[in-house]
Amino acid sequence: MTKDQIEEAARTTETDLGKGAVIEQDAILEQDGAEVGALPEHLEFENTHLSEGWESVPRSYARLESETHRTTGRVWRAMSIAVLILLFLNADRLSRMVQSLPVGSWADTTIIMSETWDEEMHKHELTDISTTIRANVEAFQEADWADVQSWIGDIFGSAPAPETSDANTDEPLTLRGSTSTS
Amino acid sequence: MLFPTFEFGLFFLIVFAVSWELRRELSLRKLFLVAASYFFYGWWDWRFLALLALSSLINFSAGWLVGRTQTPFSQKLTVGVAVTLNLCILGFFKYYGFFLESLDDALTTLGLARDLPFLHVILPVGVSFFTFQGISYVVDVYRGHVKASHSILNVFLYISFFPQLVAGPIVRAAHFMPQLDETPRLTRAMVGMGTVLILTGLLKKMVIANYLATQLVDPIFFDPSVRGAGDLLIGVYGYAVQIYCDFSGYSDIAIGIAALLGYRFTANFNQPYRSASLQDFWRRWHISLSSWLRDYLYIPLGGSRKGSFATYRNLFLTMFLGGLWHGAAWTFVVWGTLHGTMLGVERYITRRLNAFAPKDDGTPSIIERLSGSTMHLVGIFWTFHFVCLAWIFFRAESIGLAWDYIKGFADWSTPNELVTPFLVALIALAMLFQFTPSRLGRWLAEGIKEFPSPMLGAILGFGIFFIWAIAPNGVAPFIYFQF
Repeated sequence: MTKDQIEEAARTTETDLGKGAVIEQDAILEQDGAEVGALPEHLEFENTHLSEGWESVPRSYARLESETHRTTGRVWRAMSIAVLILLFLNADRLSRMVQSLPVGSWADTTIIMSETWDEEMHKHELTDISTTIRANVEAFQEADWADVQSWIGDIFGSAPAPETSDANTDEPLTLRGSTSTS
Repeated sequence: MLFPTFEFGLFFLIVFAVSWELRRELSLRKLFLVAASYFFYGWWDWRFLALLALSSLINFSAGWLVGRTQTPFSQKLTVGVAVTLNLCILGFFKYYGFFLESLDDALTTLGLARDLPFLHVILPVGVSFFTFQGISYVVDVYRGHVKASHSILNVFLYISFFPQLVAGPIVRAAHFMPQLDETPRLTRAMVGMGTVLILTGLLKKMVIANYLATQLVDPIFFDPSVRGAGDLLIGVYGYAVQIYCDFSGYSDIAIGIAALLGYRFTANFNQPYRSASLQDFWRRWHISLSSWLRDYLYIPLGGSRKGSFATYRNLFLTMFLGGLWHGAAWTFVVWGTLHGTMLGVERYITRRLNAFAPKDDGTPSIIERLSGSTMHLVGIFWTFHFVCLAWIFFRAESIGLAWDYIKGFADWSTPNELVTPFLVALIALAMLFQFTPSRLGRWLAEGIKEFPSPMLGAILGFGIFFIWAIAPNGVAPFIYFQF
């Protein structure tokens, strides 16, 4: 019995009998791959006790193998979704990052593709979120203590804005020195 | 190839997919991971691949010989030769130039100047880490903590495994090697923990450490003599946070990546700035190095078993050599000396105070009675500021600049230019997480492990997007790469 078959048996058992059933029963497969079903009682797992052509594995092995199979698939799907999110929302950063690739035809193609992609994302305004976040961060970087005092005053509606502040309430964070560079 | 780069992202996607496809073919999987690790290392400088292979080969052979030979003398001899060879590699690449420069200075001072055989030796990335891992393997085999491996692939993978290859954590052979003989597994818990560690590591490094480095620490340490005391104070606080976020961020990402590949590493940091004593600090800071120094240096020197004098000497020597391990410069020697001395002083004072109220009758000692919340806070304050003082020597380019920095604390007349809300907020945020529950990360991982893949993908995608959006442009190298 191959490990693929063990894993398949574990999955089949779990699907048919519900989660946890794999812990209760051990799938036994014929060596040529034909499934003969799960035996209801617990087995000893020394292969010497079984007639030639039959093999068995501990329940924990089948369970862990099954979990590993499912979890790798889950991570793979999650990483694909994460890459898609980054491709759509963070196209400008990605296009800058690929500039550092070593010189070569492969790198040139990647850079051209990423720049084209970035332009498309700009057209559809998908890069606006990162632009707004960066503008807020930059505003915070350039703020001084008077700006922070003014900002706190705006939030709680008590402290008057200091004279030094030329805060624009339309800007993110309304801090002095706020810039909206992309 | 740095972790937070496009190249590494692509590299990891390929390694993840192929390594899990090969999970049923254990040897093939290990071979693939060794090849991937050598590719990762060769990305910096392919010329040092031979050095990495040589180091692995020396340690594999030594382990194999120790396992085969029966007489204690032969085993000791083999271990001695292997450790010497490892230290020769480290010594040549890391300390040759420093030693000759120091010798040249000394001879010139004495009027005995000579032409010395100076060489331009390039420091291979991560040489300090992989030589220490090699020593760990040979010594662990000798001590019987791990069996001598008959698989050269196991030793090659142990020494070169890419998540920890260039900046640790220093993985112990006794902890990692047995995992290589098991069928790799990926559980929901490992994915949850890996996701949390990778995201927190990226946040620490790309946002906090990078901003503090470029906007605060680098300008201040470049010429501390022109700065006021306020700038210098926030500068050293900033460096304490920067080096923590930089190094623990790298460790977090490394541990997270290893978890996603099915391997478990032990934690390397545990909220070090909440320590109430220097001894406690070294149990929480760079745990893999401090425990390595304890097990392979302090204890073989005699530890605390050979009387008071020997204990203080061993403490001092361990920290002194620990300082020198970080780099070939007098600033690191001073840093190690400060820590070694203060650990001894702390031990002496604690013992003297305890002597006033021995614990024989079951009553708490004077230290225990004093260790209420106030004394605990005093301990945290004192330990943090002593560690910060030592960081000045660690970061400064020379002893002279470090001294300028310390002298600058007397000047409160120069206006402060760098005490901005943004930088103060970054430092405060990082310090806040030193005092959150130590199991916070585990709790988050427990929650994430139950999420379905679309939600996990959204957390990863939006998490990385947000970190990228708020981080400064460019990716600075990790501080510990130079060690």
